[in-house]
Amino acid sequence: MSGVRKQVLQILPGLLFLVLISLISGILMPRFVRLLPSSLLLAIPTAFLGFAESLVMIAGEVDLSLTGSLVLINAISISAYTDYHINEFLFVVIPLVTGLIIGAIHGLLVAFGRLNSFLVTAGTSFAWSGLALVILRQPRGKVPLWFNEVFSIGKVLGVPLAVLFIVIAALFWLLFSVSPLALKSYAVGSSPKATFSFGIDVNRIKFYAFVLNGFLVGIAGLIMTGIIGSGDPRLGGFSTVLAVLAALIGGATFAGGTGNGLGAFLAAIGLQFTRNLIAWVGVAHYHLDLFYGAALLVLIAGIAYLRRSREIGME
Amino acid sequence: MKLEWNKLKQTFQVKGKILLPFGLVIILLLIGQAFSPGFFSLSHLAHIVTLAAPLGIMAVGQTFVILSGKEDVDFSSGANASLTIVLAALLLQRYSHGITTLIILAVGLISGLLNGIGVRVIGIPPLIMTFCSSMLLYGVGQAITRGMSIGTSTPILTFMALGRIAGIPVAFLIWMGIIILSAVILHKTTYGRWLYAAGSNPTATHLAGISNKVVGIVAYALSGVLSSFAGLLYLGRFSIPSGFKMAEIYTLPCIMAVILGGTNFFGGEGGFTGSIGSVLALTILDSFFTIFNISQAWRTVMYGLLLVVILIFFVRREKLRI
Repeated sequence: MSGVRKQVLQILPGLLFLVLISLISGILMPRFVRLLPSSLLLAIPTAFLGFAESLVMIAGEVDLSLTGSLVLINAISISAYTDYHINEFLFVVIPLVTGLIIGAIHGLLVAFGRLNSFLVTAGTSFAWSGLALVILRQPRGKVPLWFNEVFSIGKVLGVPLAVLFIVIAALFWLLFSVSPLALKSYAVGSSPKATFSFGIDVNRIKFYAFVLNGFLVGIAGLIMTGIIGSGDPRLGGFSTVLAVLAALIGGATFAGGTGNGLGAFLAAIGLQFTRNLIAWVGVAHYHLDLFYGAALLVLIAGIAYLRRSREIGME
Repeated sequence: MKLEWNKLKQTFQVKGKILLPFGLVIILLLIGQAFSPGFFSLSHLAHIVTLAAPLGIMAVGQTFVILSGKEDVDFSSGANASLTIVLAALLLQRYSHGITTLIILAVGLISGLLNGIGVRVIGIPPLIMTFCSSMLLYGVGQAITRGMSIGTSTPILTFMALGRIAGIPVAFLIWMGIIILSAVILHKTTYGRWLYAAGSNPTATHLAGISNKVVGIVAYALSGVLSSFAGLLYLGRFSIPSGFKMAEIYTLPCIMAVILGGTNFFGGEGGFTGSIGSVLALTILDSFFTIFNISQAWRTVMYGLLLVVILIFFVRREKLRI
């Protein structure tokens, strides 16, 4: 089956990156193996963001609002439970619905409003994080007891939570990649004009890509909320850049039409491990952002340079 | 006859683009006057112009960048100014104003060059590149201060930011000086011609033997230098650097001002005149937020939404057609 082989080949870059970083971490940090389950779980929200970013990049757009969306989802779900005492089980649904709504708003603006996705999502990122700050004002709030317990134990029915989430992500990607939507997304991303000429509604496909992206950001927000167990209007500083970089490692390009969600998912885990590595090497807390940011920028530059389009060069 | 009509329409559109922001200024001033008498007075106008100056200077740099290409935009202006605030306060404790200014401008130049090279040589999309570099600049600010507030503004800086000469705000004079200088660069030098050419048709510019790369990199460098300089005025106004993200909130207004000022986001068309109006309009809007006691968080929300509204009116893709 060539389809399976193609999938495996596409996941390879992200997987190799994760394995490489894990190997380096394992050799340099003796406690890496012991801490693996917990550091894996901590990396899952970012991983879902990388996945989410891939979906829009495949369709030829970009979402730069992930940091803001993540914080807003966290703020709304925490406020709904702490201030408005919603049902404990509804608590799980709220982040997903919020994510869907955010994705739909972005989709409407970019696809049907014909706006530049870079600028729009950079703008909404400010709007969302501002709203989160309005709702929470400071780090506060609580989550349902059972929810907190699940995340502090890190296991459900004996299965590690991180493994469960990885399986969910893999299933989600498999479902997506065999659906007609996947084929259309790749087509829209690689040539919107040609796809349009074949009678496919380009705007609708882009809209769906943003809605799916929003749903995955919702999952990331849910898990993030579970991990920190409260609301924090200032979390997730590097999320957007991490997600874009993960999508790039996973095979996506800014031009659109390529990319692999599962590869990006794994690459994002690797990127989170990189942060642990930099912290462990002995970089002071207040220098960490600088070093980590520089490392991310160098990686982005490297990938962009390797895949730069001929147009920009021209010489 | 048809040609004449088209020409007339074109002139009117260009004028209209510039008139719109100034019209907004008048409307906002009238609304302000209705809510708090004295809003339309000369002394309050001077106050608004003083507050607008640093944003105006950042918008000048932004104009160069937006003119230079199809998707070029500098998202790191706010971060550059933020870094200047903490860095200048720190440097002024030990060095003179001259040396501090030189270091500040050099830092702006380096970060601008970095942006330019990232975008034009390596091929990273402008928003991604400047987004990343702004994270780096905040990182540098955080590393320098280690979470503490070090140093203060000096009397000279405070005079530059808030003082007046013969009743005219010094900051306004600086802003106008920079605009005149930049207008000369834009309209009277070869570089200015190249910038418009590269922005409107890069392929033709390339074929004419002009390096799009160099034109773009210089634009980013100018933006870096100007936004760093604007940071000095912010330090003079805020007087104490109370964080490493103090000018972050001006990132979006800086981009909005240029687009609202009639400069085409897709490059090659526009100038500074309209931006003066839009910077003033945004500053008056900001002073409304202060009058109605609207929190910083709500301001961020408003600016985010305002950008989306401005994009809807000014920057839309063409409809797909067969």
